[in-house]
Amino acid sequence: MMKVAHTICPSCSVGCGVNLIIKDNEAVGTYPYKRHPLNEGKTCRKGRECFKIVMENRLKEPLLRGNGLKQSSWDAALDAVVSQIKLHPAPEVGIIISGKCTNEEYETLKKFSKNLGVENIGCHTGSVPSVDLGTATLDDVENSEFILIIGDVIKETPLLGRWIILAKENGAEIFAIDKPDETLTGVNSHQYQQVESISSIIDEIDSTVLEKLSSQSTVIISNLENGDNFEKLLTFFNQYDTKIIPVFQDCNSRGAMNILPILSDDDLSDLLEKIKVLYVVGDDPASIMIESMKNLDFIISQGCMVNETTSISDVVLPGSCWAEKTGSLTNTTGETQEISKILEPPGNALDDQNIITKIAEKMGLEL
Amino acid sequence: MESQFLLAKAKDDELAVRGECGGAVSALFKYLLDQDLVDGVLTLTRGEDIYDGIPTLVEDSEDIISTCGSLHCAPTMFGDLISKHLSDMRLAVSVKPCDAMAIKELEKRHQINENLIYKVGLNCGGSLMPITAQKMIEVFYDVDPSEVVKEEIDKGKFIIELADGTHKSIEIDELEEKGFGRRINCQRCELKIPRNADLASGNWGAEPGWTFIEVITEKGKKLLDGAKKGGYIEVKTPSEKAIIIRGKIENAMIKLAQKYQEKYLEENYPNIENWDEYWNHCIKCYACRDACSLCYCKECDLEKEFYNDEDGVVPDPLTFQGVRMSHVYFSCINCGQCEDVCPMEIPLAVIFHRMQKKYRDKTGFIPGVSEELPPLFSPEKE
Amino acid sequence: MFSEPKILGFCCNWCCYGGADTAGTARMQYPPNVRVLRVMCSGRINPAMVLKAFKEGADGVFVGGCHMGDCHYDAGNYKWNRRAKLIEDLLPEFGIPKKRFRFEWISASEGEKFQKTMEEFTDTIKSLGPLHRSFPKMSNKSPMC
Repeated sequence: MMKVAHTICPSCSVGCGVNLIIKDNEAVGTYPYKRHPLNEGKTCRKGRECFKIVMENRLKEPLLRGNGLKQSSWDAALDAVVSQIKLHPAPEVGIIISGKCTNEEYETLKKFSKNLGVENIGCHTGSVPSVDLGTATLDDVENSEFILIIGDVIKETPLLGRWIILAKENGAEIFAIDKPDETLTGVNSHQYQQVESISSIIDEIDSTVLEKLSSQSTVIISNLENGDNFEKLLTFFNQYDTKIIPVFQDCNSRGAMNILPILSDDDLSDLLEKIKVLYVVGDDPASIMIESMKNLDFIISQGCMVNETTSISDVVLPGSCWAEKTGSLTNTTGETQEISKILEPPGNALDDQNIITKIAEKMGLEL
Repeated sequence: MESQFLLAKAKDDELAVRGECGGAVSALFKYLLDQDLVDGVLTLTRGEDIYDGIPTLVEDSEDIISTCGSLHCAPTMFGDLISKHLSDMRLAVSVKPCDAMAIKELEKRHQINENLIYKVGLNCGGSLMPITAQKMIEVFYDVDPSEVVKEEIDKGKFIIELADGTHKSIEIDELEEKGFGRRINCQRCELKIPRNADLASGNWGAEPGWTFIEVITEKGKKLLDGAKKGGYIEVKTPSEKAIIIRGKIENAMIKLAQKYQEKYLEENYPNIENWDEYWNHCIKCYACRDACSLCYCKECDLEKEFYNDEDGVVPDPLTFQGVRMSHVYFSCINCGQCEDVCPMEIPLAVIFHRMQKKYRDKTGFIPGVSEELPPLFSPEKE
Repeated sequence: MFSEPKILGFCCNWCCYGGADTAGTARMQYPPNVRVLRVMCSGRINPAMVLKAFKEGADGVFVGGCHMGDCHYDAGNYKWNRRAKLIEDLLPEFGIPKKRFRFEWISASEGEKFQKTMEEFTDTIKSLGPLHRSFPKMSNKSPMC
């Protein structure tokens, strides 16, 4: 049994189409998806190797902490979850979800938290604040006369970088700004300006560059180490009559911000201080702020992979990876694309939406 | 064995109507599955629309009907799909000439077992990139690409059919003049009839409702005889005139390909400065290597410390593209997959094809067609 | 003035390296620009090694093997001969003139031939000047503000 099936690459926020090669319900490779308008079968290495995510460090059974994390039944695991949530008042319960889930999961979780009365909920995006703006499309990039790039777009998100190359071949002038001596984007630009720090861009940027910003230009902002810079830059460039593309981190960061509150690192640590029970969906907060998590009474971790958070959790609920679910993802330019289930989750893992629904049912909540 | 020409069509009415040119190829596949001569059939099926060709493995002969019809906007490659994922199966494959070339090179390199595989060749004038095809239909045909229900290439024209049965056609030459039409690799391709497969089938020279088949190998002949005896196909002999017409079409297409080779490999060939610009795009993602059917090594030199440049810088073209070329260019079949998948739009196939042609002129080695391996590593004292 | 080009010479153990040795013992002077790298057989050299040498800054690359028919391993130099032709086609595609690459058949007794070949090749490289590759291309970087 072999089949080739369309999906969207979950590795970054560009949203390229890839075909997964499925053999006996295992993802064994990728195959170019040339029909996809965004990348025409072209992918970066991460995209070509995204099939490995399906197999890597998967959670297959529900786990419950007794003397260490032990395999349990779904009923026992869910009962533990429900009794702990019921034990605490809503303000002591927090829910965080990653930018890698589907829009439908965000909606379900939003309803869940609303009906539960939980206000400490959000999607942790690290450096990127919630953005509510019309962004340029990829066709806009290709037809731009001038493109200003902050960050190494060609290296980090090559398939967005490709549109810069296409624009250059169309005669666009490319100007790049970043911190390193050389960047892949820099060597492919007409001019590259090296700056001391991203926060100084607004002060240091050449005024002749700003004069070139017009409705025929695009500013691409990527690679930012903290959210303040991102916000500042967005506000700054919004004064100009130029199109903007912010490059988010995860495959559905953009979708998450349309539905749920966005948490910066600071927001996340504030949230963790307020609560006693944490319900994590598809995220790994322990990898960045394990200290803030020490005061929690109970951690529920739901997701497809073993990570630092699952190892300190009290209950682990095995979820599905992107290839095992049906739903939609919204990419960095705001385009929403459907994905469909092409694989069965391994072992006793379940669809994430299904898990949330089961918890709600046991809690006696309507969704 | 001497070549033999015949016309064939499916005896099954449904296959004959839904299949291309009388459904002979589909009938052959059905025969192979029914008689348990193969475990599966690898062919293309139509996905969401006519621009979406998906490689599909059919294991149940009832499903053959879903694979009927040709798709010109699906530049797929079966070579490495078979060697990497289906090499242990008894397989029948519908092959374009480039698929057949890749498979042949992989057979010589012991990556595909030729005893396990039936190669049913499809004549091919070239394919189109799906997105290019859609743009082209919008701009030149003034039609919403999603309204096209069928496309075909006939008598030098790209013809589209709409839901209401109307047809629109434009000369391919004219489209290609303006940068649309077939993939550039296909424009340069000289192998239009896959005489490196077991059978070569197509509509050139065929009567309506019949497939013109050229029998290439003993295996192909046995397959046809079996399918005929089993009542899957009926055959007849084509007229002298039909054979001549087919030959003329082939010759015209080869001449055109040679013209395009001259254009892309000589006249418009990028100069050194252009190449420097292109190599500068390279992000060392290895897409070209991974898409190349010939690159089958488990350990790749490009990732070894002594050739590898650090990540995040443009790799030196001498030890990236140069080393890759020195490994495979002499065997390059000009399938264009490397160029298709390059995220940085480097026209890789042009340099590989040009170098291969030089090698071919010196040694006579034609990749995917010659029976032996390229003479590079042979112990012959010559 | 470009006076000291860097030349890498791959010499096969059984013939050309012996030739270099013969030249040395007989005190024949040959340009010191050639750095000799001994390999067991010219058939051991693949095009990638020559490309690597140019990448690392060689202005010229020389390969010496046994005369046809004299290969210690029977047919190594035939294989090399075919690969050498391939390198000649490959180098110009990357902006490196064919003349910067030379291969020759030199036996262990041909000290004089080794000396002459090295002199000739060094002269050729000197007349061509240093190999300026357009890679890596630096971006048009404006100075730090």
